[in-house]
Amino acid sequence: MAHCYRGFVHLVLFVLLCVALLPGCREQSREKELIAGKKYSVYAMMKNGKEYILQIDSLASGEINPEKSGASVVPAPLYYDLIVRDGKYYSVDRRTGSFVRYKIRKGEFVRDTAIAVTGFSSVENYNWLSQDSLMILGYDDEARKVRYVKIDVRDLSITQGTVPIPAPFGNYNWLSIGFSQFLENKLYVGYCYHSSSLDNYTTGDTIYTAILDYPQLKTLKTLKDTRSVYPGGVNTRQTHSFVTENGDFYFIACPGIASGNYPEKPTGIFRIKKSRDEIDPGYFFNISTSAIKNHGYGFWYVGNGKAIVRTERKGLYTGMKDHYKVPHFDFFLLDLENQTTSRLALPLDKGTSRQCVLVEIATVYITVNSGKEGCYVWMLNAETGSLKKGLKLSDDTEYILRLERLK
Amino acid sequence: MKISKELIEKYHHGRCTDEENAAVEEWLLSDGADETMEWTLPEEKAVLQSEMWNEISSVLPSSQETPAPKVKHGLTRLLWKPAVAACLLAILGSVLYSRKHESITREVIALNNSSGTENRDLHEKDFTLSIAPKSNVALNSKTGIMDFCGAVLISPKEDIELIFQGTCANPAQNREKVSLKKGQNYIALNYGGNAKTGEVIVVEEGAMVSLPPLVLKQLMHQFNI
Repeated sequence: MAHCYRGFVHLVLFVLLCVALLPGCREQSREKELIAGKKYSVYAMMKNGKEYILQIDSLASGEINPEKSGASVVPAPLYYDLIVRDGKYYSVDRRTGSFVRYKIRKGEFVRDTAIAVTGFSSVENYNWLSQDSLMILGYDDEARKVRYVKIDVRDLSITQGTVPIPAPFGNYNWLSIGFSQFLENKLYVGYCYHSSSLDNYTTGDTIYTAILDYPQLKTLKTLKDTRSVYPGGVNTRQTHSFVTENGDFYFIACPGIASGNYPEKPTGIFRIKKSRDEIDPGYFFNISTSAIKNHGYGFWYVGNGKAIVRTERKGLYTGMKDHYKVPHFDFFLLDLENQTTSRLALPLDKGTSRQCVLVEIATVYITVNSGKEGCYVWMLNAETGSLKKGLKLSDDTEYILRLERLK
Repeated sequence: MKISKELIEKYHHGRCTDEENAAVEEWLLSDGADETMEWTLPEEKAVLQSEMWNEISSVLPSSQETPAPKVKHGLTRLLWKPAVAACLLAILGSVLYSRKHESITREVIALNNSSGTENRDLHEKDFTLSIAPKSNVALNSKTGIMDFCGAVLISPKEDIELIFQGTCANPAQNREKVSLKKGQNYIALNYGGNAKTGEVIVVEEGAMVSLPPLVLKQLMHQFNI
C-alpha cells in the first residue's frame, strides 16, 4: 500500500515537473531551430498587419503558422529593404543613417549591430563582391550624388565614396538606380531621371547605362536607350536583371504605374551581349505588345534561356490605390531568344512588388498570395512546365513578402 | 490674385473658391507690412478711399439733421478714419486669430501650405491633418468632403468616413470614399499628376511601401514615418 502511495507521489511530482519545464524546453528548441542554420527564410505579413520571419528546411509540403513558428519583426516594416545572405539579414536604417545587421533573439527579429554610413536613406541596388563583401548603391538627394558603400559583413567595416553619375538636370530633380552588374571587371549601372514632387511623379524618357571601370569607378562610356523607361528597380524589393549561362546580361524596364509611371511606354526586356559594351540594338522583347498585353515588374532567370516575368492585369485593379491588395498578378514563362510567352497556371497573386521567385537547380519556387485560395509556395519544373503546390502558410497569413535561401 | 475688400468680405463669410481662399490666406499670413493692396492706377486708391468714406458717412447721423459745431464735425471726420482702420484691423485680426487656432466655426475649412519645406497641422475634433508643403486642403465638415491637392497625412481620433476629392488629379478618378479607423494613420496623395494616370490614393501608412520607391522615400521623409 505504501509502495502504491509512493508511486502516486512520484507520478504527481513528475507531472508537475513536466508542466513547469516544458514551456522552457519548447522555447529553447524554437530558439535552436531559428539559429541552427535552416535552409530558407520566409517573410510573412498576417491579416492583423503583424510581420514574421520564418526559417525552415523544406518548402515542398506541409503547413506552417508564422505567428507560432516565426520570429516577430520588431523594427518598423522593412521587408522591401532587406538583403539576406548566409543566414544573416541586413538593411539601411534611414532614421539613423546606418547599415544594420539583424538577429533573431527570443523569438524576435531585432537589430544586432550597425555602422553609420554617409548620405544613404535606402539601398537602391546591391551586389555581393565576394563571400563577405557587399556593395550598396543609392542616390543621395541632398548632395545630389550617387553613393556607394563597400561593407565587410564579418565586422561591418566600410569604405565609401561616390559614383560619377551625372546629377539630375533641367526639369529633373531626382535619379533612380535600376540595375548594377559587374561584367568582365566593369560595373554597369542602369539609371533614369525623374521630375517628382508629392503630387506629381513620372520618369524621364531615356534609359541610361554607365559603364565604369572597377575599382576606380571612372565612367568609360554612357549608353542611352529610349525604347522604354525606368530600367530595373530596387533589387532588395525584387529581381529585375540577370546574367545567363553564356554571359549575356538581360534587364527589364518597368514604365507601369507602380514603377516608372510612364505607362504610354511599353514594358520591355533589353540585352547586353557578352563582351559587348552596348545595349543590343537588334533586341527588344516588348512585353506590352506580346500576348501578355500588360505591364510587368519582377524578372527572374530560371535557366536555359527561360525567365519568369510577373505582370499586372489591367481591369482587375483601378490604380495605385488598390494595386497592392487586389489579386491581379500573373506569372509568365518567357523564352528570351524566341520572344515567346506562356502563362503559368497559378492563382492570381497580390502584392505590388515581392521577392517571390527562388530558383534552384531542379525546382523554381514561386510564392503566391491568392485572395481565396490562401498563401502557398508553388513548385515549378521549368523544363516540363509542371506546377505543384508546396508549403502552405496558415489562413491568417495575408502576404508572403519574401522567400530566400539562407545557405 | 488681387486682394480686394470684397474678397476679404467673401472670405469672412466662407464663400470663397479654393483659389480665392488660398490667395487670401497667403495674404493674411504674409509678413509684409507695406502696402498690401495692388493698385493699377494711383487714382484707384483715392477713389476707393472716398467710396468707403461715402459708405460710412451715409450711415452716420446727417450733419444737416443734427447740426454740430464746425470744430466737432472736423474732429469726427478726423477720428472716423482711424476708427474705420481699427475696425478693419479688428476684423482681420479676428480672422487671423481664428485661422491660427483652427477654429471650426465655419463649415468649410481651407488651408494652403505654401511653405516649401514644413508641414502644417490642422487639429479637428475627430482627426488631425498634417499637410505637406505646397499642398492645400478644403474640408467641408458638413458633407465630409475633403478637396485636396498634394499630400496629406490623416490621423483619426475616431472611426470616420471622408470623401477625398483630389482637385489636381484626373477628374475621372478623383473621388474616393474611405472609412478611416481610429489609431491608424492614412496618407492621401494625388499620385502621378499626369492627366491620364493621375489619381487620388488613400492608403494606410503600412501599405505605402507598394508605391514606387522614390514616392515612398519622399513621403516617409516628409511625414517623418
